[in-house]
Amino acid sequence: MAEIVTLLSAGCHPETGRLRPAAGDAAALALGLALRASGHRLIGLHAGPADDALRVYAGFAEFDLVRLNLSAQADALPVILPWLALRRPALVLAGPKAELGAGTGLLPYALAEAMGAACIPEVAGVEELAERVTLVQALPGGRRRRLAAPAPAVLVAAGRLAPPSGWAYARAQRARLETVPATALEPVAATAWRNEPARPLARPVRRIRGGAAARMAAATSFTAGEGQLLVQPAPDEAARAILAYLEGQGLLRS
Amino acid sequence: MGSGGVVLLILLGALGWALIGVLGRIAGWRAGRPAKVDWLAGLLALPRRYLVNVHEVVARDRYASTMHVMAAGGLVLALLLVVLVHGFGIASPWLAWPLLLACVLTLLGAERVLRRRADRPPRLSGGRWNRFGWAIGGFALGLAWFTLPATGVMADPGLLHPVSLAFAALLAWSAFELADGLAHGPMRHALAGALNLVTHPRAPRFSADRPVAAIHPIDLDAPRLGVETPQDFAWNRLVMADACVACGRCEEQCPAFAAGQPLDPKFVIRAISMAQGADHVDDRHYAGRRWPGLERRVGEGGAARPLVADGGLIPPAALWACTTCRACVEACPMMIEHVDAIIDLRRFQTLELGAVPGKAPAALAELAAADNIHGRAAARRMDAFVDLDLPLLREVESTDLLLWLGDGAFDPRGQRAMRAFVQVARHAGLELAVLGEEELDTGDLARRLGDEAQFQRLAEANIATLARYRFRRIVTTDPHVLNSLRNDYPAMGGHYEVVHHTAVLLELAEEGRLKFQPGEGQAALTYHDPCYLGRWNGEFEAPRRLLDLLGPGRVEMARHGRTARCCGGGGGAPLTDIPGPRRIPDMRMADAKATRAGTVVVACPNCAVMLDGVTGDYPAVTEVAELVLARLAVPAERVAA
Amino acid sequence: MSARPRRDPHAERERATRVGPSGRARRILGGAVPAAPVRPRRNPHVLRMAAVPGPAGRMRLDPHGGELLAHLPSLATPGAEQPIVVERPACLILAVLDLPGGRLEGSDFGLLAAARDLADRLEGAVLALTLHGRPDLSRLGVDRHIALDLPDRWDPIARLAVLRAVLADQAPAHVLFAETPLLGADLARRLAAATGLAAAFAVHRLEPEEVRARGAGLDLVGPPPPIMTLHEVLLADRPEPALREARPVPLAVEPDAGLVEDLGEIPVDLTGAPLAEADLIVSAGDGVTDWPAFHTLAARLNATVGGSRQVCDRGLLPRDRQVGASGTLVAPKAYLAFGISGAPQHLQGIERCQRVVAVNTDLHAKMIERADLAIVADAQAVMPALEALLERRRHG
Repeated sequence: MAEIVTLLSAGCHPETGRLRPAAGDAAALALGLALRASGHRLIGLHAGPADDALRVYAGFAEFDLVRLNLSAQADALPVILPWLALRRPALVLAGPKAELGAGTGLLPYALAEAMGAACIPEVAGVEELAERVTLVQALPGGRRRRLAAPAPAVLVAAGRLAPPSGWAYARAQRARLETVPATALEPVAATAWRNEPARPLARPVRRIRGGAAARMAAATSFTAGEGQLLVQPAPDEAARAILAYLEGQGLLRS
Repeated sequence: MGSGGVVLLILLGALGWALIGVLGRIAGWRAGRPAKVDWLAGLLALPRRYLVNVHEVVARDRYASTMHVMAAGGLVLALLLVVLVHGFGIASPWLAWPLLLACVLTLLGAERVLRRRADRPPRLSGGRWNRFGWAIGGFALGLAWFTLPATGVMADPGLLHPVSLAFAALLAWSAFELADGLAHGPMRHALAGALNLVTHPRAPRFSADRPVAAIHPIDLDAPRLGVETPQDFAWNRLVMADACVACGRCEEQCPAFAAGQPLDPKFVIRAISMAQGADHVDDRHYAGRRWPGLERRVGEGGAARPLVADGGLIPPAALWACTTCRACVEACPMMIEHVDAIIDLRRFQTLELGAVPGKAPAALAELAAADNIHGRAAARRMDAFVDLDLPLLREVESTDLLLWLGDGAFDPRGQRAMRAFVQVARHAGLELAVLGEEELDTGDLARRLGDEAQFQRLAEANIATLARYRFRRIVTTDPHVLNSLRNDYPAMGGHYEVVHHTAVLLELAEEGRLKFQPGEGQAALTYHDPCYLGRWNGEFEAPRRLLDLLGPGRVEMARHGRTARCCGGGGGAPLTDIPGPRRIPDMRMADAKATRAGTVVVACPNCAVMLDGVTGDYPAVTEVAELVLARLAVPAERVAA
Repeated sequence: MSARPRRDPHAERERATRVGPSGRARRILGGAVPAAPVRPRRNPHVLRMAAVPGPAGRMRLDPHGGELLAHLPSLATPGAEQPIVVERPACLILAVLDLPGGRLEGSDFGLLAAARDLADRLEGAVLALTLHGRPDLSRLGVDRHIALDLPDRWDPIARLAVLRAVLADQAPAHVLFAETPLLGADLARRLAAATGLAAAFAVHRLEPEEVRARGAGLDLVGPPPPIMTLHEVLLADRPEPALREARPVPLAVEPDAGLVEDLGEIPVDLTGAPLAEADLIVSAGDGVTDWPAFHTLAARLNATVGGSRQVCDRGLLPRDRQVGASGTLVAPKAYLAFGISGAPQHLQGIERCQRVVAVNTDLHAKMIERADLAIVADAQAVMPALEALLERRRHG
């Protein structure tokens, strides 16, 4: 049976900033646990300085947990890659975005690029894993699509997927974590990027060309709302109105 | 051989049989976890516990009470006398007549038992209990026959007389039926019931004026957390389960059972009792009502098998339907602690398996990362109260009255009540301080959902915070907080005087610091007892006296006080959300409507949310503090915020 | 409507002002002043009339200018429509459109608006890349257009190959994507991983000197990198409808077969799908009594089933179907509410719905007020009628 590695990063509660299982990584773990139930071997991999970040995931199930000992600032990719090259897993599972730091969601793509493997985002389930992996991808609106790719592949779990059920305190406490020393790399060259506290998201102020009058017009003018009202129409009339409305919005599936 | 010898022989045989059975049962109890038991105090307290505490509950059902006095009293008297008359062969009419009288008393009791069985209310179990009346009656009758010669009424007809043979057979059957029942049948309640009164794990409930209803903490480093199999219970809790008389008073009171959710507190206790006695049992011979909604279900278990499982004796949904309202405990004549058993079983499910249903896992995850189930930052607890300028204990360092906001501070309904209380208290010149962002969830909900680890973490953190400040009393609008701080924190090292805001308001009103408008022309109101203020803490009177000060016209619901029906909001039940054909809050609002009162007064943020959420033509729901604010002699808008 | 030219004294003065080497502003007097551009005058009555399309319409304040300016010939360039041509751009801004299903989506408009804005400020041109469908982009601020027609299946490897070819051919200064899952967000990361170019994802402020990208609870701030995806707050915008040439640009590329095989969409019964991701929801409240009709209609529409709290409380729908503050907050494209009066908690739950259709017997129900299409009628009559209509339509 194949070996599957699921990448587990330190999660961060959005309001309190405290450690927790990252939602996306927990979703990836749910995919991994489903595969483990069909006989595959699952390894949870974390690259970071502390056991606690990994231990919070141990509560979900009993599975192998490996931590690559790495400082918090170091780039994880150069450490994960050689470890994966040694283990040669059939699948690497990841969450869509980290909850700490840049959280670009680039890592799985970079990993796949370096492994020469396919990277598939928005994965909602894995149906079959052998030479090829057959999987289900989540599309907007709850729809699903089936894809196939050769193994090894990097799968990014759909972020909205539910975490595994059954987090248990005792499992997390009793879990045994394997720590692998990782060779420290030279610090990343300083980039032009700097971190700043998140500013509130705001729609951009639209630049209105044409001077004060146009700006005034834009700010004070009215546009029609959609508010349509039918009072006591015949049922057929009402039905036609709804249907026409839905079709106008392009929302009818055949 | 004389007829007395026959009686002796039969009784000795039965005694031997009973002894074998009881020894087996004791071995089963001993397989449980160790428990600290104060034997001497327990034994000394036994008569009082039996005659006062048990009697108080039994006497609520007059028929059963008389029945029990006759049958049990007669039987015990007869057994004592039979030792003298037939055991030592003292054929004195001074002893024989009383023995005969005891037999007659027992017989009358047995008749009442059988009469009740003929028209058995559904809460009573059938099965062997149906034979029980015959066995007692037969025993009394047989004993009476063989005692008659000793009274001198008639000559001993000899054993070979056909009538004697018939009575001997009857006596033998009934004696063995009773003796066997001592370990495996109805008579067990006498043995285990008495032992339960001696070794009861909640001794304070018998002596204190107020029930000290703490939940027992567990060692989080133990190899197995909580209870999986019957053997994981402390041994005295196994004895407790065996004390069950299957009277079904608990299921009659259980709100979840009434709502048709698959919970029957009697079945939970009977399941523990059934499972502990054998390696493997199934519940097909269970003679009571089945789990509501799961009537055809067959569960399996055993002394070392999991109790709660999909195919186990207790379906997981039963465990999570419980609102921990303690109505079952209050109704139990055998002093059984159903809720403790359910918490113990939940602990294993939560801590070892993580098998909590519904929205509860998400709530517990938020609690772990944010110290409240809403996942809010600690500072936001004060968001709804910024305009009140409540002094922070961190700044004033000492206060007379510390206001514990609780997690109702995150909910608009709870905020309304808290604001009203603060306004009234300030109007009366009372100074309050709050912990603000230093306040964490008390861990009460976590504990009731079986997450003892989080409870202990939060309790330790809160106790450490409180240790830094000086205050005389803690006041809260939330009875769940009150219960947690008052009853659960002492075992963690935190000892506080905690009062409910209704008690504080009553104090203020009785000291004349609050003046009310005459409440004329107002619609009647009815008071809904919060389980955690009433049954868990014995405070039934203060809110009622306060309401009576507001004006006349208070009416009571049919179920109030000790037997009040839960709102459905306790024990994490709204989170686990076990489906049922009816909803508990709907039933409670129907209770309120039946009183024709215009207003239901609640004294708990959970009750307020649950009862407010019932739609339809029902009485209005008002929190006590809101009502007090509205009825102050000063118009509410002139009460300074 | 008068198009009388209007003088703008501020602009005239500004143009007449030159800053000398000493730093002092000097006014140029006399006839050497460059002419100020002539702007048409504005007629407020016409503006108002144009803003109210009919008696059923409601006037609403649109803080973002809305489409009003587009409707007004007075504010558009006067005279014959001459497309704006950018002949020698300082740089190219490549916008890679999503075009889900070959149709222009909201995210595409926002992307083009941002690209246009950046191009204007860098004096560059917008180059749009569309991978299938042939949308007309001439009024969406596009100067150049590479239109390909790849097969309509999910093949990110082929798309990546196209993208690399465009980069080699046109050397754009910046490549802009929308941060949309499976589309822009996916392709941008593939490009960044494949080329090693610097990238910023979920950019929510885009200035020529500095961009802010949303990280995990923080902002990453720096100069605009070659690859950027735009956060959804930037995607709500729409480019000005001025006519541009959208000149077709040829591209020769032979996309190679990718590793990933698209086996097609799986038919999913969406009636029981998670509410949070649904894009079409039919929801029932107290006013629904004919449940079979409700469920038949939901199945016919393949719409996700939702309900009010009351309905879920009574067990008429399972608890996970509850829409509202204490249930699920939903954000579908359309929300059909049958017999829902609209408790505050329910309205909170449907705040993010794009379109709401309500059928309710009570004219004064909050739900009717909230709805974009409100029908005061009995749900029991409308549901089967709609179902029958859909059935007829299916059979031609």
